[in-house]
Amino acid sequence: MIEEIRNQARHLLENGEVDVVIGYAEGSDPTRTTPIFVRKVEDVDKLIFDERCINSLPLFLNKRHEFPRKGWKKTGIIGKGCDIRAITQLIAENQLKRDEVFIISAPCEGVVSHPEKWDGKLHDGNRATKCTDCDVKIPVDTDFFPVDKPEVDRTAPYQVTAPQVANLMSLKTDERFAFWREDFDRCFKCYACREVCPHCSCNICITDRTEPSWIDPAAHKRGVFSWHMTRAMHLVGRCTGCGECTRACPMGIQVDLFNQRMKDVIQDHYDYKSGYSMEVKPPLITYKVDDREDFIQ
Amino acid sequence: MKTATIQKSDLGKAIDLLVQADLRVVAPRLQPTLDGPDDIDILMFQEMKSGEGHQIGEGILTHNGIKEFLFAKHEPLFAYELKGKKVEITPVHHEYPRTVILGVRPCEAASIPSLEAVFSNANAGFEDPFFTKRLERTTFVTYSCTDADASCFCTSVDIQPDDSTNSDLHFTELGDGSIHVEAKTQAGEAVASILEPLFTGEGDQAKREKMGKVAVEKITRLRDKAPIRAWLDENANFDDEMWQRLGEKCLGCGACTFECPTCHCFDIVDENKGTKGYRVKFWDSCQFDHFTLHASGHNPRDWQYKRYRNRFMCKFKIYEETFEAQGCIGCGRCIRGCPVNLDITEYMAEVAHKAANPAAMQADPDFE
Amino acid sequence: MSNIYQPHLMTIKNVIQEAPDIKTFHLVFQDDKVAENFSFETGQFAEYSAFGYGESTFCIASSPTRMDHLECCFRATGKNTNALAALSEGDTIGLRGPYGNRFPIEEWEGKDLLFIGGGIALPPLRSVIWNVMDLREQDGRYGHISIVYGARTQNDLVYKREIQMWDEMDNTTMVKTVDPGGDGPDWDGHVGFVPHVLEKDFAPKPDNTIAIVCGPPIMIKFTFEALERLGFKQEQMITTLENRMKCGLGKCGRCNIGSTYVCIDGPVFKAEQLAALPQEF
Repeated sequence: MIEEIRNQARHLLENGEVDVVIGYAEGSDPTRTTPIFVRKVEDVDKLIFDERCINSLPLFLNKRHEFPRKGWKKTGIIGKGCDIRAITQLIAENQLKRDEVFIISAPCEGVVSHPEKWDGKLHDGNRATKCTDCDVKIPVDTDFFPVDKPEVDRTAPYQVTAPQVANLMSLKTDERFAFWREDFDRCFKCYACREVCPHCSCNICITDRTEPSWIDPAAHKRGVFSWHMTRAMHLVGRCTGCGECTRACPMGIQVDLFNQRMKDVIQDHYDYKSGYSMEVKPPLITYKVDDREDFIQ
Repeated sequence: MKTATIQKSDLGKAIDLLVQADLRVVAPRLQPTLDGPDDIDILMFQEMKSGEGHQIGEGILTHNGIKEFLFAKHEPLFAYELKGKKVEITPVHHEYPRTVILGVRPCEAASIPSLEAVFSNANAGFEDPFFTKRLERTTFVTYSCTDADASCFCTSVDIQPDDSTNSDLHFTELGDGSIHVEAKTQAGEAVASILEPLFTGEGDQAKREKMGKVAVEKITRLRDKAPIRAWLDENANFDDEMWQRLGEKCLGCGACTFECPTCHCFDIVDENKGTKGYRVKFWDSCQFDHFTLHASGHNPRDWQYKRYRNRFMCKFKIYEETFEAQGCIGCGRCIRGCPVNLDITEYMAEVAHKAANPAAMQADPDFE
Repeated sequence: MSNIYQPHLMTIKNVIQEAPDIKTFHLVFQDDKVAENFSFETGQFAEYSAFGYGESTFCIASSPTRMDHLECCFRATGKNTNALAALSEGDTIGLRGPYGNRFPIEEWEGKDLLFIGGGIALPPLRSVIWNVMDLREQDGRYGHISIVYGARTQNDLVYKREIQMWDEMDNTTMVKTVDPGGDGPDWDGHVGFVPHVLEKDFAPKPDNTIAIVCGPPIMIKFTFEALERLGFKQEQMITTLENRMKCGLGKCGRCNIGSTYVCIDGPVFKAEQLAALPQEF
């Protein structure tokens, strides 16, 4: 399968159809992989794909990081199903144009949640939660699929809700708050959660604004809570569940649990799943004339 | 100075004795989790009221470091109140309890003189009173490493896994459940005398020397630090193509700088409530996109690779030149913590390669 | 141990609107003891704050030869400067300093001096200008003083009254200019960018002259090049840089250019020091 992906990448670079192919390469040690920007045909062999490839690459299509670069007419990108959900959502929100990307699918049976759990193969003891009920193993829209693409039924509601969310929801409100109060004690506002998110694309993030300072930058309770609450609300109906925010957190805080909970809320209220259609807009950032709320009329 | 033997199984009791002696004890502990499939062990230095559940000597490194106990994540500098046309400034009361931090790894201990150089000694004698007081009242009990993971590289930056240069009291496991204890300073002696009821022997110097080297073979990440400083000193290398090529995937998330034991950048803002407020100092990162942004809109470090270049230079040149202290201490936290697996030792290897092959310094014309 | 982050309290004695968004404050210490012991040297800067809004870095625009009050001159452009601009006479601000190094004015004794600045970059030069003028009046230790200064438009010139004074002063030449299109019907100065006017219209001789330049990095670069073409050597050129700062005392890691912290090793840099810095400013 990787050979077919490499051949496709080679072909795209040779005929100049893309300026770069963004994929995975071997990382700093055998348990890790790292993103790679392949511009030259001779570097295509560095591309790999296996169960260690947990990185979500669509963040390199995010204008916050100044991607795609000026002068790139088309970007090739290798994506797992969950990554392609993120790309689909970016296109639905007009953050990216469909013809700016060439999507190369990497059919995926799951990835390892943390490098320290890698022991040579994927199994129930190290599979990431987001992979257990994945319904995008075969992604929605793609430009290249390395094997015969099977049919997939996506009408069922999106199933994955991490057991941790259920654990939290089973607690009383003040117990839940006590859990977060203790967990957030170790947040030091590094913003890794923001930078790895494919959907955090504001050129100047609200927390960096000074006139006025909406969110205190310091890492005290107020500064930490206001940041995470704001980010959770900004992502409602938009988060595509890649889990990168939790993976990136250097203190191991499970920040994506908020997003997972909100995903359930949006599914219930609006029957909407983010990242499955490039045409359907997320409910909280669209206005329809027949919206049931009338305050805006 | 004094040496002794203590049993590893008695370290919990050691914490209890220190707490009873009215000391604030900080030690590694596992964080409570939600029992989900993705959970990993989060080891953190935290204040402990008893020895139960401590993880001294376990794991490679904690997720946080000792930095936050000296250079606070956030602290009020003073309080102000606006009274018509006048302003009243009042000092803020800070607590400086006598603290013992247990289980500090030798690499991390090497960051103490570096932070001290920045906050207490540097630059025309401006001494940060908050840091200085905390440092004065903290005793460091360090713990030799007997293991290493793929990201450790202390030996490449002149630190040994059993280094006790920056320790007050130093522990080395002897392999049989006992620990060799050595006091290096008066503060260390003072802590040793509190722990005396738990001592089971006089220590074993020979065994300690041997066991102290056990971790060295386990370190697989080896780099040559020697040519780096001279290469960075050459101004022409500031524009080398390597910076853009290696730094392209950097997101500027700041995780590396916050986890790094020697990173010291901070910001100062005023936080108000009505007419009263505090001026607060808190951690900042040179990796943030607005770190060097001028009011005019000009930004000397406008691309991410330039910001990472600054970080690398800070660790291997600026720290040494400006603060006369060690920058990178080889703990590997930045490698473990980086979401895109950016690797500072990859930069080290690239620099060493270029230093040995000057012809390799040509800018890559295809890169854009 | 003193709190190095705590500012002195200053009263605004006077506010002068220099240009559309540029103000000058005249400041006096609220604590007489501090006023007695405070001293600074020309070239140094301070951190000025509107309490509740933050701190900003400006030079001390007054001369150490005139200590009845301190002066600063700033453009209202962000959170703190907008808050400062909203204050009036009698209000209190904070001042932390002095920080940074100084202009080595003793090295210039017996020489002619050429000051070149643009826009909001005149205030740092103004401190030195009055410093050397006062000393020259006292004992004639400096020669001819020339000042080349320009802004985008007539209205944007700062220290308009003092430009007039310098124009009328003995042994002093005042060359003022505005950018093309920035001249009004009553404009009697030059028209053109500062480096251009310097090189083509004024064309000073380099003999026994020190050139002190202040402006944005690009202007410093062009001006140094123009001076070189006029025959000035590197050791005759000196400038003062700005960079984003916070602590002002060499700890927060923000203002460094390579290993050089602008708040400690600068902001005054000789041309040869500048050439040795990595091009990151």
